[in-house]
Amino acid sequence: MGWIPDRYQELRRLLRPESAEEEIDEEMAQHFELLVERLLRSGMSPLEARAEASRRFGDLDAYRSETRAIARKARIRTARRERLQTWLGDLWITVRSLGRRPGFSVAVLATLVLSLAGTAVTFTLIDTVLLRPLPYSAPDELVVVRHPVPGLEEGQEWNLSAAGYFFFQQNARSLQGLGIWSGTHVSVAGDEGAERAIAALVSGSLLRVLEARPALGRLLDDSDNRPGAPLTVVLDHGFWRQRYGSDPDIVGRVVTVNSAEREVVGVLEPGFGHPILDAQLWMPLELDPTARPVNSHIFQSIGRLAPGTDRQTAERELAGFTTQLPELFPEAYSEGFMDQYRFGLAVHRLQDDVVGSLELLLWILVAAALLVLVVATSNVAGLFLVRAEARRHEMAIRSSLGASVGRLTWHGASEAVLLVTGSAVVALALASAVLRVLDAAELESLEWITSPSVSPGAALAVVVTAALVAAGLGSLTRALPVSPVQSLREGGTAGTTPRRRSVRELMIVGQITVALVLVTGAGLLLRSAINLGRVDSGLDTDGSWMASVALPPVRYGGYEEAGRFFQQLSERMEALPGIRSVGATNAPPLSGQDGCALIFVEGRPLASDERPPCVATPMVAPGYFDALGIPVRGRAPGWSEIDAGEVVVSRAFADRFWPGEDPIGRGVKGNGDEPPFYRVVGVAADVRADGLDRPPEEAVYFPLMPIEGAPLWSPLRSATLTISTEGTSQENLAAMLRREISALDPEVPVSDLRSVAAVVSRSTARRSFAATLVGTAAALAVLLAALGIYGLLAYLVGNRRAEIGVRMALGADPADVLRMIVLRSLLLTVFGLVAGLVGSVLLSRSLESMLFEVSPLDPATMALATALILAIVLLASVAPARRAAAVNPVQALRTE
Amino acid sequence: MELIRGTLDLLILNALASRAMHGYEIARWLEDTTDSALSIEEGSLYPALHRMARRGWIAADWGISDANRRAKYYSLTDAGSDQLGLASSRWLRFVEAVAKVLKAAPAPNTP
Repeated sequence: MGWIPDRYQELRRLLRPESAEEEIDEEMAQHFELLVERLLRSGMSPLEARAEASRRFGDLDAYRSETRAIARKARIRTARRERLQTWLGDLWITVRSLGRRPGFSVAVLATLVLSLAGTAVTFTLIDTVLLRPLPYSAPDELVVVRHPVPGLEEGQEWNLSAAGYFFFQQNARSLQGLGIWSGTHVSVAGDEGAERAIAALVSGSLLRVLEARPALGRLLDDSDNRPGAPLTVVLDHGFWRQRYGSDPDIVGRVVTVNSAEREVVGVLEPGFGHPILDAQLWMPLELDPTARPVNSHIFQSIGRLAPGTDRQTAERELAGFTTQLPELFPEAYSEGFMDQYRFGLAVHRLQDDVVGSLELLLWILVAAALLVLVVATSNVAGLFLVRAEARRHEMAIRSSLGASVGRLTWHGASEAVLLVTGSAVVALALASAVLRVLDAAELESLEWITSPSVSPGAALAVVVTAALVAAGLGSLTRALPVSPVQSLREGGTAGTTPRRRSVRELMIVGQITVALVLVTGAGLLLRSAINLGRVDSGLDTDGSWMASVALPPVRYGGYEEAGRFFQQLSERMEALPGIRSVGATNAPPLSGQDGCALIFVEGRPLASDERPPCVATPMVAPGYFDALGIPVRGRAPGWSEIDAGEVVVSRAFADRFWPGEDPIGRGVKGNGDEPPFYRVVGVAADVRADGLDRPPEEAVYFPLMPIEGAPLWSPLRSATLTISTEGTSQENLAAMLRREISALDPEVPVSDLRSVAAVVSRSTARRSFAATLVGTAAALAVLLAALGIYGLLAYLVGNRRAEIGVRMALGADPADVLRMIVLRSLLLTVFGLVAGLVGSVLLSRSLESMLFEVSPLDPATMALATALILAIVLLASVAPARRAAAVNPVQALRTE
Repeated sequence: MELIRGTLDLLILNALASRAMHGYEIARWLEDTTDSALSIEEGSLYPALHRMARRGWIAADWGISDANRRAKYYSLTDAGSDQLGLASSRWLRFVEAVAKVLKAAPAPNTP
């Protein structure tokens, strides 16, 4: 009998929260009344009983409000828990419903994972390389000062001279500091033989400009640079840890560098490094402010702008000083020097110098990743639209059965949120795996752009993108009207409104546009890579090797000593089985050392406004041409003619200066006006020593020994050996080299044995990398576009079954139906292709510097890319079109 | 005798250990069991009851009282009986320790 009011009460409590408080009142009032009754029964008068009950019960109002507050808190907590349970329940429903349609879920996941991972990887690289400031304080103030010379490219600007450095440092008010440096290989003596290390020779001011701090001892200062100062060295923190086991007593110890004893005065703090050089040792340059100034621009510089000064101001001030140099230092710069060279002054950002040409490559990668992301998200949006449309009927039914609109919308949106969240998580994991692999691969010439993990910035970019995508997809679901009456009246199948269809068609057009842009770009890069692969470097890569050696200047101070070392080494090596010839040079091909020196040609006076040509002037030991397989017409000087003033010139050089004439016997010289000339005795076949994408090098190959007069080079000490072998493995060769060199001089380190083939392929690594990555992005975009168009057509055919059925019942041919569907996709494709061609024309210009022997507007590439996409689109349309043509009119109309 | 703070919960749990009761019954049970030795304001039962209900130690259900009236009955949950065991053993240990101290050193000024 009691349950109806009970249930009613309970319902009321659920529906009206305040009733819980009323219950408390009721409960306490009842207690009070029972107490009064009891007291009455014990014989008290009503008045006495009430007073006694009040005393025993305590302050009714206070207890009531205390209890109410407790109940209110409890209710809020319960409500929260219930909401969470509903939410989790809905989430579980979503997971199950996604699991029931694995095709849809996998398509969305795969698309999003790949594109988001691409975004994460490229953004990490950008973040690591371009956006992260150099690890110095106020890195924006750091600049590099160089002298541009008209006619030379930016990479070939002259560096500073010692005299210029002192003058700038003392007088420039736009700089708060200026330092100079040069890099060199040195040999560090140790218990287990000599070790080759990289040393930065610096002015003390350089360390102040970079604001370096010592971990131990002190750093270098200007007094260390003075001639005759005690020889000192500062160790890089990593080198100190590795080579000296973090010896805490290292300061004051003496180490032997290039056979000279140097006192270790300090160790740099951890994490500090040279911006360009991977320096292990920092040693003072010998700089004498009072020395006779010479026209020798050999020092690289790093300066720090004065606070509040910009680069332009500094450039104006220093350029003004530069024009005064010839007047200030007449001994160094002859009369008319400035008229002849007109060298100026440029102040570059240090960051730009460090990042260099990587910037373009990285932006190309980012563009590719973003384009793929656009295609991917529009594809996913298309998939969601189809699903939402298909489910309108179901939604309408659920809505008319009483499900709230909010809950239905949430259900639709939760699919998007769930899939996008999942994709973002997997994408980040995938991206960090890719980055680890790239980092571990230690790609040559790309080491700058690797990072072992996804950077926080990139992760944030992925999360934000994912959130935007999820929000977009969610609102897409919400935008569909769930009016039960309308949807049910439509009969469920004809759920496509023309407006929404045109949105999807627009997406397809966009996808094809993007795919064509990417395919064209990839095609251009691929063709460049193929063209480059066909270029003959001019080197024989079969069994040829290079290795680096460094002779300590103390014992190899003169041309005689250095020359004797290389002669003995090649004689000993060539006597060994499996070794054909051994040479040496200071500037091996494809090493990135593409400097030049001025050359004067005999019998070819310069016009008054003409400058002497600047060409490569490597110094080569006999055996060099044989070892690299470079044929020489005439002859190359041997050891017996090494000091006879004989040179070999490259064919490109001969063709420029003696076109159609015999170069043999002609004279060339370096430096200045005084004779003598060197005599040309041979013409070497062309070598693309500056890079396979550069024209063959114009070179004069000088011998190891100069003739009387001004020598062009100092003695060959930091050298690259060139070796050609026959059936000798790398291990054997390495062992032979080590044995023979230490037999000659145990203090000479040998390192970096590499095959010439590897050197050649390394020189094109960056291009192949770009082609591979953009190619991958293009393939992905094409695949996604094909999926997109397939999805759209399949969906349209499915929805128009009834209409097709009617047409066929009225006598339409299956071929007509097929044509109708294919034409529809062709129309979209043509729009996309036209837009894509316009995009390619606009965008591929930015690729220009990455291309080789192919125009950015190459018609063949564009035609091929267009044809490829057209073919793939047709292929993707065939299956849905044939399904449409196979519609059985009777059945189609019956199901309707 | 005034109630030591925090012991009310223990007493209520103990009361409910025998059977489900409504607030008035708990008050009577406490009175009978202690021979009215403890002075508890009966109104203070309600904040305590609701607090323990929120913690899940006791459950509240509407039922029909002996007087055939609607009343809210409180009963001990599993968590409540665990709490009862815990709190009573802690209480006994405390009493024991205090008793030992008092026995060892008789308070001054006692005749």
